[in-house]
Amino acid sequence: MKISHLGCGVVVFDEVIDISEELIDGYISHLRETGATEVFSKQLDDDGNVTHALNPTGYEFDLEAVNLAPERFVQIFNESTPQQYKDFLQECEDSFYRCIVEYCKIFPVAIESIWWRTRGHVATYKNGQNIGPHSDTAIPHVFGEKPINQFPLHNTVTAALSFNEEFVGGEVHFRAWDITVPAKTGRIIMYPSNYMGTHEVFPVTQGERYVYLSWFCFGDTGMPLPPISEQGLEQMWKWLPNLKADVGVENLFANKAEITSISNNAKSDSV
Amino acid sequence: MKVNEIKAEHLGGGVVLFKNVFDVDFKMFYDIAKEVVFREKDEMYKLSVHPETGKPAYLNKSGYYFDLSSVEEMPMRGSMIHLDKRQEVIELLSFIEKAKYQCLLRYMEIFPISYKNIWWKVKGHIVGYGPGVYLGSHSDTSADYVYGLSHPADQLATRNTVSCIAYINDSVDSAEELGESNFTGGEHYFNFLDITYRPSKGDILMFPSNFIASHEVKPVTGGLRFSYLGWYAHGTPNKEVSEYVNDPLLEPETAITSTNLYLPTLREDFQEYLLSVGHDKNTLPYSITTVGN
Repeated sequence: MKISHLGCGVVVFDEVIDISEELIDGYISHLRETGATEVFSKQLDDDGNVTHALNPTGYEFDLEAVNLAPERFVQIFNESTPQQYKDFLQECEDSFYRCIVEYCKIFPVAIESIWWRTRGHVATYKNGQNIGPHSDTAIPHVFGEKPINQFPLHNTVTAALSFNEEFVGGEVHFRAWDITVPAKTGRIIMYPSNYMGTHEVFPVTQGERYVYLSWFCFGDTGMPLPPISEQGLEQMWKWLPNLKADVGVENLFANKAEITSISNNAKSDSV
Repeated sequence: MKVNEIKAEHLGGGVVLFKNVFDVDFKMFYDIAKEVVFREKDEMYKLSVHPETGKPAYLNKSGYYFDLSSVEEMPMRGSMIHLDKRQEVIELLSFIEKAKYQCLLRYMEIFPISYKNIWWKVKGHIVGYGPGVYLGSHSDTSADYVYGLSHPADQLATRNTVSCIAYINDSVDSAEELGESNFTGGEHYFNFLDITYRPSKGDILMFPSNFIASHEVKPVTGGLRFSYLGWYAHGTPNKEVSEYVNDPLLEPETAITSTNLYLPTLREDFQEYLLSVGHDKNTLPYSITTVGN
């Protein structure tokens, strides 16, 4: 595993997982045939005109933006999924865990804000699809209204695994820090889910970008997490009982010498 | 009392210093801060004798005994300051909250996406450090969770987005300069960012509440160090675990005394601010306040 800290919590992990192009092509075709993507619902104003669209988790999109949003597959397998794909997905999950352990060695205090994890989902980008600057903790909130979905406020660290690299565009860009990360097959990027990790994905202009995304989270959500023993791929959420021990940090405050200082490469003029 | 010109200095990693941004009667602010933290300490702990060891100990309101040192080495808190009924206290805090809000608008201009994660505020409370007191490295979203041991009843800290500290007195170089209301030591140090801030009255410091801006307060070596610490936060409060956020429009009578308040006009205020400093409706900070972003 090669670890590069690019600054402000954006960490790139290479050589964590081997990914075969053939397997990815097969898996994505399988997802397209059997998986359900998000369906946008059109929203009307009082006069019956379509104003904007909502995705299933309550985020608003301009009508033009709907076609430019990535496709997302949250149900990453089903009863017809061949075992080799399930094994691969499990390997992706295991790779994220190995990386979060290393991430927490750089930022030990983050452990206090990582209690559980989500299972990853797949996003695909093609034909100019992109995503503008956003953080992974933002919730569609309108003052006085209760949002449909509040899971993102529990996100602490985001993990993104590139399934492929054979496309043009699709770089992940952190504008506050002027950091751009191109895709590389098997590359994992981890970054703070809050506004410090504000990021965008540039339009994919040729080929197609496949990425596997997951979050490390904290706080009780009101939804029951499964018992600790349930760590299988079928679980959407999983506790992380051994994280502290695996990081090897018994006392967060006794570990100052190992803390890596990070670059402060952004000043107000440049943001 | 006045808000000075708002100059934001980005020290890196989302830490923004608003130097000398507010002017108040700092002597009065210091006296009030001192009074409330000692009053709360006296209400919380009574000097007693540990029944088993026979040594001096503090007895808290819930009947637990604490070593003298474990209490003396912790920062003191003035959490009930918003219940103070004196008119001068109400006016002072109301002014500080307004000054913070102006800094927040500038902060959101620099980090526009933070706007999406700010729904309400936890008003400031007083934090006081006496000689020898320090605080180890922590983030402001930590809720004292340990797997298998505790799911904290109070998880409001997990909602914090931006932390905001207003400084009441100065860190000075030597004991000779302490005067009546200064202190030595007590620097605010961001471990991961390697940024040191030395407190100076009238400054406001804003930084991300998450682990990136993990920080510690170095030991105070003389005098008393006072600051006013609050947060901007998001998420619907979970009333099952006694999280309450009051809406100042619906419950104006509680707006003075409650600490957690929605910011009902944030969108309009931010938009108006952005237009006033030269943004138009297409620039990023403005556009994220509208539908579809």
